[in-house]
Amino acid sequence: MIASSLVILITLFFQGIAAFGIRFGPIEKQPFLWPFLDYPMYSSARLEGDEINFETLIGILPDSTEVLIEPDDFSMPFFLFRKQVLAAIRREDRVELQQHRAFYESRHDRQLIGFRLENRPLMVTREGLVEGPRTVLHTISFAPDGDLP
Amino acid sequence: MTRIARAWNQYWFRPAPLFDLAVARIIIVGTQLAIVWIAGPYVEHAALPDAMYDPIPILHILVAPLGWMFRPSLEMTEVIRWAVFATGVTSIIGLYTNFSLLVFAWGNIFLVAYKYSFGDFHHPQGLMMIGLVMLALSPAGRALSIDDLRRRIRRSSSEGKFERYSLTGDMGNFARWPLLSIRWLFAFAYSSAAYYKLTVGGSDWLNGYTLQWYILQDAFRWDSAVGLWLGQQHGLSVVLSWFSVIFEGTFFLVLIVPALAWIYIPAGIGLHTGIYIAMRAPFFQWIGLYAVFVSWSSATRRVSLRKDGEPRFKHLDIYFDGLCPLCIRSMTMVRYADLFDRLRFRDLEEAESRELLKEYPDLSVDDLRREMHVIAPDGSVTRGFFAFRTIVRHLPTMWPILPVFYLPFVNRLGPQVYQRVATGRLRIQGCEDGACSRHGY
Repeated sequence: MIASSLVILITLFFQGIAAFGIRFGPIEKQPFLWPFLDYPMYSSARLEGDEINFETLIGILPDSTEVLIEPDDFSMPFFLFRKQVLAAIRREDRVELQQHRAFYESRHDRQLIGFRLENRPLMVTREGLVEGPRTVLHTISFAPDGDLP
Repeated sequence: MTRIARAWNQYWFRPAPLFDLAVARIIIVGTQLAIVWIAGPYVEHAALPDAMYDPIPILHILVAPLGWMFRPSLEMTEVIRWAVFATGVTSIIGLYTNFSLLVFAWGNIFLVAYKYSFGDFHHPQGLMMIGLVMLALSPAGRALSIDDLRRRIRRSSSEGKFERYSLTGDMGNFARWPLLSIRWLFAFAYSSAAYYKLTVGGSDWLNGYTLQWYILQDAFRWDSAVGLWLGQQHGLSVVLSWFSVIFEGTFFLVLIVPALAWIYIPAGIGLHTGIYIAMRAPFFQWIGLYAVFVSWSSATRRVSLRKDGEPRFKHLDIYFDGLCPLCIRSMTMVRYADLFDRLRFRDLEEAESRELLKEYPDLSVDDLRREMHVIAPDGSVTRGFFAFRTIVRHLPTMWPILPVFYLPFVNRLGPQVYQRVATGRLRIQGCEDGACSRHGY
């Protein structure tokens, strides 16, 4: 019973501190304690008129043609695509982006000279969905002169 | 201190049905096994560059003998995945149950931790991993398992007698704590979800727009038609927002009043199914883990017995040779498949059985000893192979093998095989107990 009691106490202790976001020392960042987790997903509130952002990644070819780039193009699930590729574009981390570009080029057998990250938002209103203004968030150029066509 | 210890033991370690723990084992492992099967090989992750690989702490620990930053290859994850399949199956059927469960839990933790070591992690797997470890440390294989069946066969063989036993009635002091611990984990998880909604989102979380926003975001992303419709229903979203927060914030009440599980578990299944349909967020592991809230032994008894305590189903009477070791083993196995107590076992060596036989003057004790007989509720009698087929037809747990008994050639082949085994059984088993001479074979 002592061994089982210890298992119970340790489990409930870690799940308890993880669940309510008690952080100290090295356990500052999730998922340090995984499989013990907190559950803060979907917790921020939204108001009428708030935009749902739809980030779209566009690849630019040497002849100025634009192609839509999907997670599948990098053999990644959606969440990984967002956390790796889109995050690298936001950081403008050219070293990492060169790796992704090389992967894309070898897979599709075509050259990319740049990426453009766009947001095409929708707004939630009581009457329904309304399209928001399209905006360019980041442009990354691999062209020698640095300018995209 | 003694009072606290006594209360602790009374709460966590009071005798509970081993059957409940065993059914939870089968459902939980089965759920996780299906998820691993559907997920398939880790080809996508194996193709990612090393720069993206950042092991989460538990993976560091698991791979430490091979190097702190060791990155498993696709071949290695495949070997582990197949080990997970194999031990998942042996965990379900209960073969070397605790060892199987340990390997199954370890393999799952390894694979999920590996997947989460590329900067992306999700919530559905956490509780499942902890739950699997708890099952591995518990007597989850003490019922509904090959381990348990072998133990019973060994016991009946050594005693030389078939002892009628109850499948649902065995109790164990360690059968309660794993189920209760997983219930506590659920209470923490749902409380955490409600806590963050109310502290981060505040009362605005209940305005309906919040839920619409999340549903639509995921519905567009995953192309869910139901989500697109639901996300545009403002009034319904307000109602569902309140339902979600009330459900999550009060789930812990199930720990205090277990009967509330009758409300919370169907509500939770509805909630997670709805979330999956509208938003494609798969929390199937949690639905599988809900098995810990159900008293499976009571439910099984409720199916077998009416409210007045009388059997719900009419019995089949099985007459068998109680001095034949092979028959004793066979009856022990058949009893194991009789979840709903459909069978009454009539040992020919017992006076009561012979008394009952007087209602059937056409049946002689010698005939009954020669081959197993089954008398159905309508008085019809089947013998040998056909008696066995009647049993299989009346036991739902054996229905998966029922079609075999109706194959075209089996009507002729089956009785021959049965006769061969039946006539050879005493020679095979020896005659130490004197049964041979008494039976005259």
